[in-house]
Amino acid sequence: MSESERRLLRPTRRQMLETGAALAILGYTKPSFSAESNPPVTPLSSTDPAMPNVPVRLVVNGTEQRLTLDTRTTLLDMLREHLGLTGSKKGCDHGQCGACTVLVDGRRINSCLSLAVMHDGDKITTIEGLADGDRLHPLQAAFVEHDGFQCGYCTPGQICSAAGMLKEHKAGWPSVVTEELGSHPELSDAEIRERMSGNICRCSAYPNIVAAIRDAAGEAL
Amino acid sequence: MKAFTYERADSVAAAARAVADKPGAKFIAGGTNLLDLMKLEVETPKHLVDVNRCRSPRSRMHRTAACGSERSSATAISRRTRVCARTIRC
Repeated sequence: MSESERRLLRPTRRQMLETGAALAILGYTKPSFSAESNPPVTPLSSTDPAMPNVPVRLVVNGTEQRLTLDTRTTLLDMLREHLGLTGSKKGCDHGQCGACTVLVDGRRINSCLSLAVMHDGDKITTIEGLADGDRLHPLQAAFVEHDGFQCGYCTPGQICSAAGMLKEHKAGWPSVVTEELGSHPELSDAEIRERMSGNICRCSAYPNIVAAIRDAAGEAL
Repeated sequence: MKAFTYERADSVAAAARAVADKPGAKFIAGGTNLLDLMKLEVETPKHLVDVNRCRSPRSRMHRTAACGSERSSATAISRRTRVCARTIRC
């Protein structure tokens, strides 16, 4: 095999990154719990009778879930470790990075700083629940179109946050950069950047993230 | 995080009573500060009283709603607290 043929067969670094990011966009959700090399994290469960586990019933991506949880379980840990929905990412676990952003009854929250037991009866939407079957959510399509990521780790949070943010803007919520309160400002780049400031991207893909959100703003609602 | 028990209050009076009755109890609303500190074990409450579904006094809701925000200032999420602080001033 010649050197040029070998180069053709070997995936490039760029192809690897693109594949990884594409999986993040789609909220790839098939955790291989059977793989011995990568055992699942044991979900938190109280064995102390004075601190009993609590029953929780909620709807996640349209499916009703009934769980019995240790009160310490965060919404993020419930999604990732109890339900296997690993699209939502644990970045800092302190509400500073936004990688864990999900929608609760349509509003965006940092799921790492919310207890699962506080969401009894709530409707949760994660990155896995945004697409309509094989049809990507407009924000997902726009992130692919505009290359709104590099490593893709923050992307599920960015997209969920953008979905919540666009609803807030549509409802007329002001932001810190809004000149006139109650004026229902245009969704300028400055408005998008301010409203998305809770979601950090270590790869600094911000210009493309802003472009993707600006592009999807009209059809994402 | 240290283990704790949890209850949800449906009125302000019930929440106040629940916290007063139990030593080491704390209120939880958004949780963005309390949970953060609980993870570091700076805060170690024995019991949490969730005030999210309390029927809140209408006055503060009105003040924020009049300024275009439907959010109750008591349960504002921290990264948007600046917005609420601004709406309350106006």
